[in-house]
Amino acid sequence: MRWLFIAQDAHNLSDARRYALPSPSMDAAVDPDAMLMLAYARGDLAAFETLYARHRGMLYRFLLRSVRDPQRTDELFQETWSRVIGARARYQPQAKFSTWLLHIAHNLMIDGVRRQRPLADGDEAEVALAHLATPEREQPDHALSEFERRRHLQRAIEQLPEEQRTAVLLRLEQELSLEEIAAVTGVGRETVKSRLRYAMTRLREVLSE
Amino acid sequence: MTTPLPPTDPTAPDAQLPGEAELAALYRQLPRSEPDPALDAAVLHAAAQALAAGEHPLAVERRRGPRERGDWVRPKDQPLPNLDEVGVAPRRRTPPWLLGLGSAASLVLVAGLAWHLYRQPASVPATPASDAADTVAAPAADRPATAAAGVAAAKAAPPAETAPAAAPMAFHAAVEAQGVDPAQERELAAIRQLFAEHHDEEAQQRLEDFRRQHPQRELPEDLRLRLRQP
Repeated sequence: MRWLFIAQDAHNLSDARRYALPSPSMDAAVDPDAMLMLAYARGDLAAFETLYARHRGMLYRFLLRSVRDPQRTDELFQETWSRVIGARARYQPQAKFSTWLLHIAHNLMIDGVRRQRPLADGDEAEVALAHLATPEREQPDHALSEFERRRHLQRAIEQLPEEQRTAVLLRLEQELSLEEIAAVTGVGRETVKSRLRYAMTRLREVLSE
Repeated sequence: MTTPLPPTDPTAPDAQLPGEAELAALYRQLPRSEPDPALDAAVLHAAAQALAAGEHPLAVERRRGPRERGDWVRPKDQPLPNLDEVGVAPRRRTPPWLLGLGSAASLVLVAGLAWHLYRQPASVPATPASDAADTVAAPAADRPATAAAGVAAAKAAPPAETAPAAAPMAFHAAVEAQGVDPAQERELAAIRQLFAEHHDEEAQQRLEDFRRQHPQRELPEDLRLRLRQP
């Protein structure tokens, strides 16, 4: 797979790899987010604010459900956007902006897991996720079973192996294609497909128990 | 925990992963958490500050932690020193004839070593074979004279008789090449002869005496095995 380096500075190869994405099959030139990012690189702060508003929620949820630690999520969220800000001058819309953003977040997450501390597990993760806001539209009688199903789904996602969890979150939360998930996680399309099949089979099993 | 893999269809489009629609619908009902307003403010502030300061992007994305090996470091704005001025002599090119001479010398050396190694086995006597014959024959000779042992001894006898005669000669050639005292070797040969002729007690006594008189002398394997342990 050919790699397109967004950063062209030969002196900064190690940093450039962090912002490199596999050559995408999509037409990224029409991505409105990429246009916003280019506008920000030219000095348009409002463009960044729009861009941020469009992606803040999905990025935050992806990180939170991946690392299952609100404090660590905040750190990674801020660090991801710092990288985006720092790379604005080198940014070239070779891939969808959201794919690039998630690629940065995924790399930071993997680095963090390797270097710092393990993911929150068991009770800590459950407490963290239990503090998330519950939708208000639910009726008490019906809500119980729906709540249980959601809770089962959440738990089942947490218990998936890390690679499968990342793939399924990118698919369900971000609705990314197999190619886009492959680009974010740095593996092949068939590997992504296999991970998703395993993960979804496991989730369906848990929900049908 | 293993989950059976459903049959894979590589031609299936993205949207047809089994059960995905149901899972996606349920997933969309999960709480949709958002970043804290303070976090939003911090990110937007950083974005505005970067534009206001006009920072070079590379300066913004420095590592937070201590510098690690391989980190890119912005070079200082200092010109490189002129090598002539600091007295560093340029590296001289090796003359081609020197390379040829070196190669020829290496070839001669390799050929000489190969010839030496080829010739070496012919000059070494067949000591291990004769030693082995002694080692095999001697225990058979020590056995009680039962009928079965008699047959075995009779079969083993020819090598036992021929080995002592061949062994001293072979051993002498080897030890002379190594510069060992011939008198000691004669004594060892005599001890072997005694063992071969079943004079075990006398042979054992002479072997122990030899050991006491020449403690530095390493005994051959066949005699060392016969030496009684104290």
